[in-house]
Amino acid sequence: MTDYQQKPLPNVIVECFNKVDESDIYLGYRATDSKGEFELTFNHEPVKGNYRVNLVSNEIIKAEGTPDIYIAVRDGTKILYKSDIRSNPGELEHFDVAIKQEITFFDPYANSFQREIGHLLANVTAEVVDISEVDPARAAEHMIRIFGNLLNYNVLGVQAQGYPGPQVPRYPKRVSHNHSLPWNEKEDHRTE
Amino acid sequence: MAGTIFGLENIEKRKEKYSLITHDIVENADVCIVGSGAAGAILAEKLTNKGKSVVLLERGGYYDAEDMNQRELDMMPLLWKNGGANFTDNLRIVIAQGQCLGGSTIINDAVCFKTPDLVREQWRSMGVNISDQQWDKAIDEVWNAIHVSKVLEQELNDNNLMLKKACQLKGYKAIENDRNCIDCMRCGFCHLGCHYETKQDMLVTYIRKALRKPDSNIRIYCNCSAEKITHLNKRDEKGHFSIATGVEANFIDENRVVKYKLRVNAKVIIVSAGAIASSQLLIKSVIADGKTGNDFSLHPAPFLLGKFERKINAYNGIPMGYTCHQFGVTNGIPDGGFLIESIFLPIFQFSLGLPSFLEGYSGFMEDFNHYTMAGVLIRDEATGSITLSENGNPKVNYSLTQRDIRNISKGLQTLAEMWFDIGADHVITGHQSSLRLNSKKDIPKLVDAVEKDPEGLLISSAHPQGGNRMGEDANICVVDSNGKVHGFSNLYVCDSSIFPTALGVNPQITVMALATMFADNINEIWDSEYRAKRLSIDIGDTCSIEQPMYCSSRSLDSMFNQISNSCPLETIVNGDKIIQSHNNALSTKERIWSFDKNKLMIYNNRYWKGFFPTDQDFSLFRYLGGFYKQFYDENGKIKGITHPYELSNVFANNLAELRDFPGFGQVIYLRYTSPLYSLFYDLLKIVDLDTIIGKAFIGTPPQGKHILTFSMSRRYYVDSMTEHDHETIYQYHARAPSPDELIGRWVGRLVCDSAVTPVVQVFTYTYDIVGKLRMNYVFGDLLRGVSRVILTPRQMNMYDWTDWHDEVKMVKEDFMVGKWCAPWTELPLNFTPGFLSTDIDKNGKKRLCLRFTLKRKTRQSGHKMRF
Repeated sequence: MTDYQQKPLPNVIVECFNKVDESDIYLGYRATDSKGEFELTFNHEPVKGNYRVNLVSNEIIKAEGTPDIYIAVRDGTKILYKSDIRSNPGELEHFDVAIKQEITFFDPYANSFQREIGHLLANVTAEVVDISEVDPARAAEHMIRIFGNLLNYNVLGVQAQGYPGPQVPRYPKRVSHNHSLPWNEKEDHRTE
Repeated sequence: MAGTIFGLENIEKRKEKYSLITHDIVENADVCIVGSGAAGAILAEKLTNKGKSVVLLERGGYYDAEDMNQRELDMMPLLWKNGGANFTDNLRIVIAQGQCLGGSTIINDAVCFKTPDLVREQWRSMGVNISDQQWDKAIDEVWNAIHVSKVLEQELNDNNLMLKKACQLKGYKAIENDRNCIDCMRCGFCHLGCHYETKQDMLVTYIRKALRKPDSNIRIYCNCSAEKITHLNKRDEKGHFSIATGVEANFIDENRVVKYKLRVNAKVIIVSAGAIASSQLLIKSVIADGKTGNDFSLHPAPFLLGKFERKINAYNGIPMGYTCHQFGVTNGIPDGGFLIESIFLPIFQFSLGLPSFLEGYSGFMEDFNHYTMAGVLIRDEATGSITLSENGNPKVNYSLTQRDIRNISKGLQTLAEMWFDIGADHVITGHQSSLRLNSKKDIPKLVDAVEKDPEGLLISSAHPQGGNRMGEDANICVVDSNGKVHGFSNLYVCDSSIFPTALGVNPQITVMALATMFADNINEIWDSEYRAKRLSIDIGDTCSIEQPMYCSSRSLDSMFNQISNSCPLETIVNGDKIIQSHNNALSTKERIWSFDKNKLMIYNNRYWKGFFPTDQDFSLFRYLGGFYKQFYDENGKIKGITHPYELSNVFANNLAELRDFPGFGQVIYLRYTSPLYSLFYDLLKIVDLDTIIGKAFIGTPPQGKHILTFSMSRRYYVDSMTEHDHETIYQYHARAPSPDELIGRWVGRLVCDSAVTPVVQVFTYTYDIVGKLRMNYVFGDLLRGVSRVILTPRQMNMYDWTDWHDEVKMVKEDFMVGKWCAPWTELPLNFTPGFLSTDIDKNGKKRLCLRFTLKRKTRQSGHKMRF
């Protein structure tokens, strides 16, 4: 499997189905490996039977007796790729999958503020805290400081005090950047 | 074949070979290591290097250098345990630990100290048989492997130089630090992971080496929380009483949802999860009762800021480049003592250290560029402990001793004097009652404040240690001098939790040296001790074709659509009929129902118990909609009845036939013959003699609409027991417990015919002050109380303030069955849905009961007395 730039796409889920009349019988799924390759195996016996059904009499008429296989790639509910249907597949069927749309990767920084608050709330509960040993005034002050500073940390005013902050983009893998630091560009930046 | 990292997060552009986890996993390996930090990574690499197959489990995620974006709000939830919100149980001390692939080595300041000579001697006197030669050899190996070198004078920033100048003025023993960095960029973001790969943490050294070795047989599972070490109690020829068989773990996503399960069967298991988590895991696994979790210390570290007229810009450069050793164990101070270490923090962490907020805070933060900062690292007494909360989370109990408080006040006094000596305008402390010192004259106020009100001082810790003490005395130590757990033949612990005392210096090199020694030892004894050992294969509660009751609907669908019917139609008939060679050894009674007490497995051939998929959404349906199917042979035709558990008078007759169906191949077609249910039909496939997977449809076959996929089994674990199973086990397979057998914490589930219920009860048995047995209960996280315990020859009875009471019996040492019963009544009690059941006595009187099972969580009560 490759992306729109013809690069291998790892860790993408591929699902396999058997088409039976209007139904899609789900056979299984796999994730592509680091080379963008995947392998799905299934037993032919149960899926044999490309049957026709007489809609009047409901009689099942055996036709070719072979499965009709296709694969699909989804990103959430959106179908990114659906292959042709392979009737009477051989022992090994090869699918070259080119995904033209962008795959949504996991964003490790998504909702980081909420997750941090979640951690804080989960770890100051009676579950892991001995209430009898807690000084409520000091604990409350500490928690207010943490919450307040989580917000204040992002205030530009603090950073305007000359703190340069992060030296790489927020999404370093997506935005090209160099690895130099302004204070390393000077020969001797120290004043001591 | 090179090694692979597995995880739940599909982040783009991974540096190492990485695969997504998409289903439950069972692994068989030579070695399973829990934790990928300073110890786990080295153990993994050295064991893999000698040809062992290794599975390494890591609770956190895998993040490359290019994922480290230097933003605290982004990186702390990813790299820090609990996002940094990791406290002692009195919320006084925050404990910094890493939780990601590479552990705390990803977020530390890369400071390296060799294990002090004095500490080696002290530990030897406490029963740790490691010679200086062994220490030196291991430390040398690690020192080279992670490229440790001394910080050069020209690399020190102003913050470090200020401390150096102060030490020189006083004539204190002090020196530049050793660090595991190559060409450090001096960005100052060590705590947020090294974006430049100059810090030689475990990910870029040992883990990378293990992964990239061509014939490496290492699998690393991230986002994986080890929940339990399974073990058997049996004596071997060396006198060991227990053998660890494997590890059960959950894959947990960023929202703390369990996505998949893992079962590892291994010949050797090593716990390297860090000082708190290692004790937590041992306690949860009921290992080293009464010993694990004790003697915990954490190097409490308050700080002082010196404010100067000119800019210091301490955030630029190496955060921890210089240390004053004058008062520490590295200068021969045998008890306690402290180091003074230069340090600076990224802005959010720095702001937390200022004991003020709102207006006061912003005033302090305006001077951010003008501060020097140093911390006082106390070598504390090991008086803390780790216990478990009711939900199995660790509770860290810790208080400063008088000696620690004296050392803190002395350390802060010394540092405050040093800042004023080199011209500080004023000094900011972490004590709320003495926040600002304007001159040396104010220093006694700080000392006074600390000694009279130590609670008012902000303290953090980055070095939790102890809890699983190392030493040869099996009565008080958890592990021996090779890290092997006393009483076990194949279970080891290796991390800072095994330190017998606080170390007194930054601990990563000591941990790495111990890992090096233990790995060498395991490699050396492998052939004689472990090579011939047979793996005890267990699939735990992972989803598989053998136990589809643990599978999601998607997995069940896939299994059904792919398997062939494996047994003749007559296999599904229930009752005492002999089925092939399966149950010839069983008596007639056992062919209908039997119980394996050792494995806690029930064989129930009265009917096929139905199971919904694990991701069945509708709780009501799950708890009230359970069903069973019973089949019988009538004149050569296989007929059946489908019954809901909760409605005894409702049932659906059916007829079973073998048919070919489009897309499914040969199936058992279950046609409902009752007119009321004739619109429905099931298709079944027999997996093995005791397992069926089925699909329910509505409509006319073969074009019916699929409603549900389910599984059925005649053999299931006690968690799935029915009320009838419970009563049979209670009456015939259980006995009254003895008091000592009860002591500890037990967790309970209600018995429900239809579904496995969650844990809702916690019972803690202790002896009270006069030696009487009592039980503290928590029900559903809401109701709490105390019950009186009365032991009779038949059973244990428990009474609280209600007029209901408990009757409990023990099945085996870690498993009990019980019922919470109403008083007997003559009222008809014929309808008891869900969790309620009815007991009937010989006189026909009835009573309502809630049936439950109890599994042991710990043998300790978990209650610590503070004096």
